[in-house]
Amino acid sequence: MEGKQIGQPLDVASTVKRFADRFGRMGIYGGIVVLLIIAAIAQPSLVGPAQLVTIAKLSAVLGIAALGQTFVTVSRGFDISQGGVITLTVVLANTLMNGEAGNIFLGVTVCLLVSVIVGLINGLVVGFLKVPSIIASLGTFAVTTGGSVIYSGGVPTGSIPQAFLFLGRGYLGPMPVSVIVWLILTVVAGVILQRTVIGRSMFARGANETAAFQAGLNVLFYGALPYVLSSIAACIAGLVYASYIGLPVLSAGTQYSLSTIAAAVVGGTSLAGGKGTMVGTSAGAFFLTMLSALIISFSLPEGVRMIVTGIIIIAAIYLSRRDEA
Amino acid sequence: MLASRIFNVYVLFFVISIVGYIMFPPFRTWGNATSLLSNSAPIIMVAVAQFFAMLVWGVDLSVGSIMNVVIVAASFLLDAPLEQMALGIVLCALLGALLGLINGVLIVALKLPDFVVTMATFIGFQGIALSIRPTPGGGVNPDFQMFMYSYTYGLPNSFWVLIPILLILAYVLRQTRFGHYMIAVGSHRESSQLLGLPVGRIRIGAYVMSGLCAAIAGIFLMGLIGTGSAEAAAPYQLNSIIATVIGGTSLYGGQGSVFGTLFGALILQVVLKMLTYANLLGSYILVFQGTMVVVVVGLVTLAQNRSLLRALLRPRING
Amino acid sequence: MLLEARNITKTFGSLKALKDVSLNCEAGEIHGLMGENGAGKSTLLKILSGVFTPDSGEILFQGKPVTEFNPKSALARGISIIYQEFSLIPAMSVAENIFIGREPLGRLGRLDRRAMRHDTEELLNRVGLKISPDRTIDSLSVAEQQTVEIARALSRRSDLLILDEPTAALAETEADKLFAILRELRAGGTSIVLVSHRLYEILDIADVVTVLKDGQLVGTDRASAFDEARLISMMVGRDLEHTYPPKRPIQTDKPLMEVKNFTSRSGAFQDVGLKLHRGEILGIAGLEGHGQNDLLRSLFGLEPLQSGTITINGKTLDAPTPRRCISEGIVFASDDRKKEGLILPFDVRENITLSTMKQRQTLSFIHAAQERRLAEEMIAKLQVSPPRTNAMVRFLSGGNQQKVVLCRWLATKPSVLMLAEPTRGIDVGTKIEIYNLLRKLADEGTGIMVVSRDMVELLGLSDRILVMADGRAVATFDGAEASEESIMRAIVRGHTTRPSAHAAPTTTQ
Repeated sequence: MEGKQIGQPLDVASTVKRFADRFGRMGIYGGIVVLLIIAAIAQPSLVGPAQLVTIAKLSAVLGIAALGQTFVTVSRGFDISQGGVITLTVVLANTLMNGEAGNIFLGVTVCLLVSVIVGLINGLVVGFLKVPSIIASLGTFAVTTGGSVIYSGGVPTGSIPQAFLFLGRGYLGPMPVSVIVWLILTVVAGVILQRTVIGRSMFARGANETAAFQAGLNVLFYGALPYVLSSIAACIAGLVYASYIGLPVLSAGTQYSLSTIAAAVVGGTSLAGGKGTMVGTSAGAFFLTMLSALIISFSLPEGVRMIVTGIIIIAAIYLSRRDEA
Repeated sequence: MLASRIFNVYVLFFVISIVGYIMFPPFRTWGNATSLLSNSAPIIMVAVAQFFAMLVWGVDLSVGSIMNVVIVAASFLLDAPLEQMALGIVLCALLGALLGLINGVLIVALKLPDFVVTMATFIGFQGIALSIRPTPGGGVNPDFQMFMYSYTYGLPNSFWVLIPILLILAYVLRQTRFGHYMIAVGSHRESSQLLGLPVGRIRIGAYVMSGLCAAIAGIFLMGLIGTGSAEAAAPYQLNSIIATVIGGTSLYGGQGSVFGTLFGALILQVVLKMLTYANLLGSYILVFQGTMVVVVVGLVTLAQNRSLLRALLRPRING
Repeated sequence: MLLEARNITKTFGSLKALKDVSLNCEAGEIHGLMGENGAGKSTLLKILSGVFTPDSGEILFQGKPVTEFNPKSALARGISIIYQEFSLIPAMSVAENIFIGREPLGRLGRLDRRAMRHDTEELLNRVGLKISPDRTIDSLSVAEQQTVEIARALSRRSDLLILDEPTAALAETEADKLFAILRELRAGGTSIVLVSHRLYEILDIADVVTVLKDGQLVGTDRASAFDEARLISMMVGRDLEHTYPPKRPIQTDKPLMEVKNFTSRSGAFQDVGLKLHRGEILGIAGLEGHGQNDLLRSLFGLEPLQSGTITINGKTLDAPTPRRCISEGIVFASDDRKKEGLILPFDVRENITLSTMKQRQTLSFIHAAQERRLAEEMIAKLQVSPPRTNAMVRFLSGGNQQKVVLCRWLATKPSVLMLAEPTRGIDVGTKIEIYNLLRKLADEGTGIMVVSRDMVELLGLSDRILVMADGRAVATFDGAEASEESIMRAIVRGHTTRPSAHAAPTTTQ
């Protein structure tokens, strides 16, 4: 836009801005490319195909959960309880399945059921009682996390049966099963969001409840649905996690709560609603996981790692919003 | 109208205190009651910190981390003879204000959503705290700690320090132009812009206030625990949001008061104390916290949303 | 000359909002600014009030060139603007709002609330508003809020007062009061720039009128040199003989929809009954706030109902909801299209197809081609501009936004179309298009109910008029026998006559 005149001092601010503009227009995909380039230079071992596949495998949990979160973000809400649902799912799956293949069906069903209930609670509290989603989901997060502790008595027992481990650890050819599941779900979620009446209705209700109501939409249903989908996604993510680790872990989900929102935002979903793609979110999830792996690989002390993570998240969001202008 | 009176935080506090008094004998001793008060200083201050952020329609997910940074800083700066304490306290407060400024600048100048920014600073500031003190250590001037734990005229010293601070904050809010504009900007951003108010600067100012209050909360907490630990303030994050909402602050900005937040925090403390008296395990407390958040906020929101209340309370004709 | 704006140009991206526009205003003059939507009026106002900076041109205020364009310096200069949506802080008091940004300070830098309250009382007396300065804005009526805005402008000792559609939300008596204040201000030397779509008002109060069209100046003249026809032709660019399409006689045998004993829970209306026939446009007239709008909203299920029934298609509804109404063919377009009618982040196609999505789906998958066809059909039928299915409704003009809302309802093939203030904030050209559209729909058999504050519009449009006063239906007129006089008479009589406890409910034909 502004031309540089000969003899004019270099305007640092506007140069950075122009660079950021061109950069931001590539969106999250550009970010991934940059990350890969940096990794290739600094930690070449990380960029080998085997390593990338592993990172993809690690991203799958975050990615699957983030898909569900995108439904909520598009409706201008926040579902912080996903982390709690993941934890609860991991604990329940281990305890119920208890190493026996015959219990797989039971374990999965119960987990899904519980997650649907949590989603309904979120959805109704936000949609009907009109409690702000941050608060409501913070509450259900506490309830699910605390509930996991209570249920397991502090020491969770059980394990994942051999047959089920295929989900988190198995491969179909060169691709991990969990990544395949993630990719399939990305497509499914994307189709739901963009091409179905359900997706459109959730969008509409999230953007303007009054107008959607007057247009004849069932605002209660479509207000609650994103949260139900979000919890189901968290449940699936939890099952993938459980089948990857094989044993119960109480702190499973806590790290995911806020990162799913970050993945969605970094992937281009606007917090103001009305804009978002599932592919972008999945890219965001991959980006964040890759970033985390890269930072860890530098063997920096924990504190420094966290500082760098914080800075990069801000940079990533800043850049991803530049193409919103 | 009446409904919002019923859920008035002062009334709620009164009711809860009565309930506590009746149901739990330990409450009835003056000593227990005042020790509750003395332990509440950090949560009250961090709730007020959150209040300032919510006033300008934002949420600050990093107040806990700011507290942690100040705590570890205090473990160096306040581990000193009395003469240097005043300077140390001022530096800690400024540190908090600086962190709040970072939040404010990122949110306002870069136009990034407050939720995600404070989420990132939550991680980033925590990183700073961990970098300064990876393992707990350092301490605080023992006289300072003694002071915090002692009583004057029957009430804890922390209370005597807290109240003037809150009074000053309330004064700033209601009686200075800055505070007045914060309320204006928080309750109606568009009009404020059209009226020529410096919306951006005021919002940044609110986050600075938030950081400052979080720093003071950290200093109070340091007075209680005496050692610099980078994880000390972890539970305060969630509680700050609960307390503010109970205290009547609206998440959409422009509504709430300093002393309302004080009582909201006290209610939270009393209820948590009741849970420990009822011998509930720590994990139940988490569940309870969660349920309480949802229930209380649900009720408060319901009370504010009169048409919804009407729909629920009155019988409908033929469904 | 108080204000001289010369050759102002302002472009937004590819849109030339103002091209070479000039406007002069003397001290103590009321200057009317007219033009269709998109003509550039609000852009010009925002430049004058400092919100926008012109790309080129110059502005001289009191002889001095204006170099800084921001709200604060405009206010400091003595220019006050009152927007259509007001710029008051609802949660704060009248006194606080009046002094916002320039609060008097007492000792220790604290706000001098006593001085604020005292000065506010004086101001409120001047504008004739008998309320306490400590009342919060959200407890005041729209007219009272506007008067507070004027009091604020007075307190700033503005030399130039700009008003954007000030009477859009006012009843007639309140508008008269406003104009009285404006005349007083004029006498005191204040200049006023007034934007309004109401021709008669502008011709009534303005000294000078400027007409804009498509971002350019069409003409400026003394108000006395204008009449309705000349104004319309300048704004629209074509000569208009008929504003309202001709009416047709209705078959009054079997009513399409019948409403009985409608009583609202809030007391806004009681015991209202009416009949709507096929192909009829029924106008509902009355003074502001007498229940007409509430009636329509309650018919659609948007306001709680105490009692009442709607009979349509042989079915009886006693607890209407939007979904139920839509399935029976009754639809409603609210007066607030931005907040209640449109989904702003959606584009035209998504808005038009919003209420009929079920018809074009298989297992929830949307048939994209069918959807696009429907949208294109509707856009063509109502001549939405720009005629693109992917245009964002956020950026459409008010008139086109209203058309999109109508498109959406038409897609449901309704039997009854209810409209509240359908042409509010819309330019004359689009208004006429909408009138013709409504007439056409009626001719095709749709029953239409319209609530409008514009009595002239109702008279021109309606086949029958139902008059409401104090929440009761007091009279019905056939299109031919109705006139502003007869309606007002019915309203006045409706006020003074209080039905006795034993009188039969006033169900009129």
